[in-house]
Amino acid sequence: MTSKELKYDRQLRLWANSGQSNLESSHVCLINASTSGSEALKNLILPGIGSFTIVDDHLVTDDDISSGFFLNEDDLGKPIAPAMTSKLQELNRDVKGNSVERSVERLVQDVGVNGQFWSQFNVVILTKRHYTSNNTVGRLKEILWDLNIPLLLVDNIGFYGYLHVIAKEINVIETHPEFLIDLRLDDPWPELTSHVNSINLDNLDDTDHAHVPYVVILIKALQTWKSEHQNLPPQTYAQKKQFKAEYVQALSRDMMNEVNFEEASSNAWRASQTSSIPEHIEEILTTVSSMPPATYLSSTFWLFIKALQGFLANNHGKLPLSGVLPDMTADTPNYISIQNIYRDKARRDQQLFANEINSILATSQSETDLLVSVPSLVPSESIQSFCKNCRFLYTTKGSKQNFNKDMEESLNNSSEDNSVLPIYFAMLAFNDFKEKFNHDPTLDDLQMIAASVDNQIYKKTLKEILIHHSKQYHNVASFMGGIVGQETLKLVTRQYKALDNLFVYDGVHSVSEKWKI
Amino acid sequence: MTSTGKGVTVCAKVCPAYNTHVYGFDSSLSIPSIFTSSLYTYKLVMTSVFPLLKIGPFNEYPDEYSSVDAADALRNSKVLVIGAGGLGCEILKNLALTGFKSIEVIDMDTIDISNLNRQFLFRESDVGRPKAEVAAEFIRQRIRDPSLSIVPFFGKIQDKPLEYYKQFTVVICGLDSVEARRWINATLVGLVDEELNNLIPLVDGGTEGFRGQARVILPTLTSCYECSLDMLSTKQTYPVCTIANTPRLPEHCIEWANALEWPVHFSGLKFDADNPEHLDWMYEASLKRAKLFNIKGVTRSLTLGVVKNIIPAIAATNAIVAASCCNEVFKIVTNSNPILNNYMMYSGDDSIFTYTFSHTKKKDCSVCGNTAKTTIAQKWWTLQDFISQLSKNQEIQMKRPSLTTSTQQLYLRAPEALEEATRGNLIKKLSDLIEPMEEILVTDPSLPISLKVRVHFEGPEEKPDTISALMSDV
Repeated sequence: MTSKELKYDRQLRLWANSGQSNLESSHVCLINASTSGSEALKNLILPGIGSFTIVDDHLVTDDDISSGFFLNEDDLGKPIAPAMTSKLQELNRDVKGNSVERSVERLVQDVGVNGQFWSQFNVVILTKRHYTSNNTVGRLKEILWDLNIPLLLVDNIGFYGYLHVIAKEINVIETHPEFLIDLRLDDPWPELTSHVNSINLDNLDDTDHAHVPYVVILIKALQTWKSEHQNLPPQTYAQKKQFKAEYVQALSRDMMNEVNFEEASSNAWRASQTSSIPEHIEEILTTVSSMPPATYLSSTFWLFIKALQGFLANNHGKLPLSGVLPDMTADTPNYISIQNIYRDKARRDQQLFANEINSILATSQSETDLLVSVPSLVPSESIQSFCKNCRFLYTTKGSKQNFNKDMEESLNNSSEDNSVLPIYFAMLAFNDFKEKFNHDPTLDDLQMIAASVDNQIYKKTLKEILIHHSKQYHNVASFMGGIVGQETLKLVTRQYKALDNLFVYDGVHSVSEKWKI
Repeated sequence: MTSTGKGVTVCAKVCPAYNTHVYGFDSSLSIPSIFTSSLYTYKLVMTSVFPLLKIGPFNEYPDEYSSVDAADALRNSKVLVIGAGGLGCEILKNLALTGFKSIEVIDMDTIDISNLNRQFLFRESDVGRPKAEVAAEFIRQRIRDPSLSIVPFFGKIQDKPLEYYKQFTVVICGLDSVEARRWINATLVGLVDEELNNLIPLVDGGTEGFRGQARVILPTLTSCYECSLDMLSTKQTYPVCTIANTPRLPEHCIEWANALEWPVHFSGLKFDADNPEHLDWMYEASLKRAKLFNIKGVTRSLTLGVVKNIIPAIAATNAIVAASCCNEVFKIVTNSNPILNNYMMYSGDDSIFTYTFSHTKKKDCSVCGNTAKTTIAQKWWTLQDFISQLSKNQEIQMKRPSLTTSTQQLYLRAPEALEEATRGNLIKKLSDLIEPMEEILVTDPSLPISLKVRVHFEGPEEKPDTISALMSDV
């Protein structure tokens, strides 16, 4: 193992080399060198993000030092961006740190700089250490939205914090579901069928009988069932019960002692699962149907979906097989041979899928004269990963809104002390006050701010914020820095499902909630 | 003063200056003189914390609360941090930046290269040095607050006398060891007397990959660590017959090399996963086994993962869980807001999800309960069979249990003479040794617990001669 593999061992077990190489080629931007921001960067630098840039044109104050770990007394009065960059940089020599001593206001106004400056980032994090006007945030949202770069808006006051992910679109292939198992019991392919048929349970001695893999048992049981039920699998509750007792357990010589039959029995429900296309995958396929080539060719995800469409058309509507077989009681040769049957089929599906991609690329290159750069070669690891995960793909579209109608309605109905939604609206109201009056609200402003919403919990929550108004309470800043770190890791490794799209934390009651805007 | 979630107030120790109203600054936003002392750094630390000490609308004791008491409690409290690893580094930083002045930290480990992806107080040049010492040094050097004391101890928690633990206001754990958690939990429960003196809250955090949990234990009052032992995910184990005869997974081949082959080749030599030569041997042996059976997928990294039972870990999750724990410590000590009652689960691998609930105390908990646990045994089991089942039981999990009843010693691990004297019982049938429902006291040298168990017998008198009995690894 290389020293890098040793250093990153504990995280490679989560996102493997593919995730790590995505992470190492990523660049994250932090606007406003707040405590939550430095904590978020710490969580990205340690695992080895490619580079980071801090944008801030302020000087280090007492408050910054009192609450943040990546500044100290020596930095007082100096420009905060380079000071914080240098302390963070120490965490990992593989990471490149940059600082930009300019205000975000200027950066978003300066049209000429936008394209080059912002497009270098994979994720932009905006924290509220220094007030950023609604106008600037709005402008930044537009710029990043058009560049398809996720913007993470983070705020924390007192015991409260929120993260709002503003992303035009998020697509994930490796979602890491609990199980990738796809046994195809309802539709075995010829090699699997002939393997199952080659095993005659009655001819086996007791030891061999107790070592037949449950996949074989279930396919046999289902064959019998189907032949007696118009070729349909067990469907109703009563049928499933009957299938389990009379078709699966009945094949055992001794249910108390044949562990493989016990496994077959507890997995009998799988026989009723159809290998049809999951609903959310159907939806994704519908989306790609109406996409012009320029759109699907500019994204690996959508190119793969387009290829999947072709694959389904040529393969009786069956998705590529994952090839993952769970462990099951069996002797070694029995298990390995059935595992090879699944793996071979998966490999063949991957090859057919690759052919679909090649034919799309060939057609598009010859027929169109596109302005997008068409990938000429798709790595086989990506194809394998896509085929393995194709039942669990994830895509979502975001919004630039701060909240929606449903949230407004629920706000009015908040009735419990630990309702989380009022926190978000109270934090927005805090921000609006500052926008209007150019200073933070105090307890004296409570009645005025609370007047817009007729809800006691909202009022109480506002009061909590106005009293415990510390913007840099380290525990909450660090909590939010952890949340931002995790979500950024998911976005840049392109693995796991990211937050979609608002998360609110209540450190008073130690609860949280999330909403989709 | 500590909330029990039922409106009960206990433990004056947590807030020693509880009744002294000397500096009243609730009504004013200005910083009182105590915070503008000659110690510049002390003032600095308080600017971000000071507003949090004011009385807010969710405060549970509005009639008794005072900001000054809260500030004093924060300054005078003594916090013990157990573990200076992924969570521990975060915890130390968090406490130091939220106004705690007196901290002790215990860790028995030295720094390994694989710690550096998350344990941010350590650098490559620190590899091999004690974690507790390096962590304390780094915090002191970064924060430079003469009023901040961080005392490291490089050793085991079991090395300290019980008296040592009485000095702390709160204990906060960031450990990866179940055994150490059980030990400190049982110790803190044991310290509490009938008048609830010496009630020291225990805040415990844990992470695994993108998931984790934070909890608050008020010893004897709320559910303790032992009460929730059955919530732990079970360690992956493989039946011996699979390992020995019918391997199917690469893990089976590695377990074969580890559990069966190593002791044969290196009798008496303990396998050390951190020794590259040992690991090389293990990898080669596993690979050879896998080739023999046509099994794919044995890698050096998988070998290391299986033999060390490695749990994935990242900085971000540690930050989330440590910050939750420290927020609770802050609230416990200052009483500024309600404390977690009593468990928060966190999961970040599919969007973000938290679940906060009150885990209930178990009446038959071997640490904080007072009734015996009932367990089931087959009539044909020998004492040895019973002991190996006890070790596996989710609610018991003792590695080296000794068993006695009120009338006899069933089996004792030590001293040697007693071990020899009781060894003969191991092959006897349990149902011949004890009466049904007779109380058995179970102890383990690694835990300060004695567990009461009653046995309910069932099943046949004689061992059934069946395939499953042959295949199980009792």
